[in-house]
Amino acid sequence: MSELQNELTEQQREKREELFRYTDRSHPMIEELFKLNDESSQSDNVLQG
Amino acid sequence: MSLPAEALVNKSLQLVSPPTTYSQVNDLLNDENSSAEDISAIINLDPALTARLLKIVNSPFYGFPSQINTISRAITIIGTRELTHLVLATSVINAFRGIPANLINMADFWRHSLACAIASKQLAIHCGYRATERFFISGLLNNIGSLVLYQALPELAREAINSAKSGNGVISESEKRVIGFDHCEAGAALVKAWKLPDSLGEVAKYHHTPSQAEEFPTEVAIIHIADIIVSSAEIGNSGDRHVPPLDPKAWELFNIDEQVLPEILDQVREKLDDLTAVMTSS
Repeated sequence: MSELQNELTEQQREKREELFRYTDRSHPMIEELFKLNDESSQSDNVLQG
Repeated sequence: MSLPAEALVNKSLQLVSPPTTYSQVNDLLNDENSSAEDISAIINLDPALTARLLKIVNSPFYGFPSQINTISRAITIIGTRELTHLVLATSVINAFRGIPANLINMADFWRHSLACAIASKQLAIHCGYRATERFFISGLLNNIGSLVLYQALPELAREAINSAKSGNGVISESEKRVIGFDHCEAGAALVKAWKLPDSLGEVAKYHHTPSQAEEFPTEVAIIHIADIIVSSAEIGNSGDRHVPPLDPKAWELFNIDEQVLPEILDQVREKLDDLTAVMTSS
């Protein structure tokens, strides 16, 4: 189960990289939005787990 | 480049109804001799629009404690300006109902646009602006040009969407490459053809390049940021699965802290389901 969750997390990470591909990740606003997207994915994983 | 966009809009206009009731109501709004009764009389001539507006103002999104049964009562409670914006919003959503689902899921498109509307208004409130309902309608219609492309050039619009999906840049770049101009120019041309307020034209044209805005830089910058917030949270679908590039000057304009972003997203999520249900139901 944990392997599957890790695999899904990897997919989510790739999806998130693609999502933020064209904007400057070093800007504080984008950094915060990136963090929020990450937290949202993690919370989805907890709900699905 | 503006000529092809205008020609395309003319083609699209043959397929969709212009918001005539909105134009009449807006004329009255700008006429100092008119009254709220005149405005409600115009709206009452369109029973379907009247029913939809009453459904919206009685929805959980507004959350008024008692039932609002007439347009004149709605005007008293939410004001003529906000009701006029609702007339425009519902008319545009209705006008573009015919876009095929295999091109874009319109429920997802409006979910993204309505989220932009809520985020724009909340951001404006955080920045201390008054009369924030104008930010709502600007946020809602910022991608109106995409609808023109879907309506008039569905195959090329699909090619542009697929090109952006395949990693060939953001949607505006793909549209320029495939069609010759992007949804921003198409949106500005539609706003002009329908004689909508100039601020909506600037938002449509410059929401991805806010530093180029001339008359309404604040409004354009707010919508630019709201679109990025909503895209980053993957709410709905604007036609592009990427977060648009941030223009840092737009963010610097407001002197707000990035710590407000979770709060704005919470507000969007809290209101979005009710708003989407009532605005997009047939």
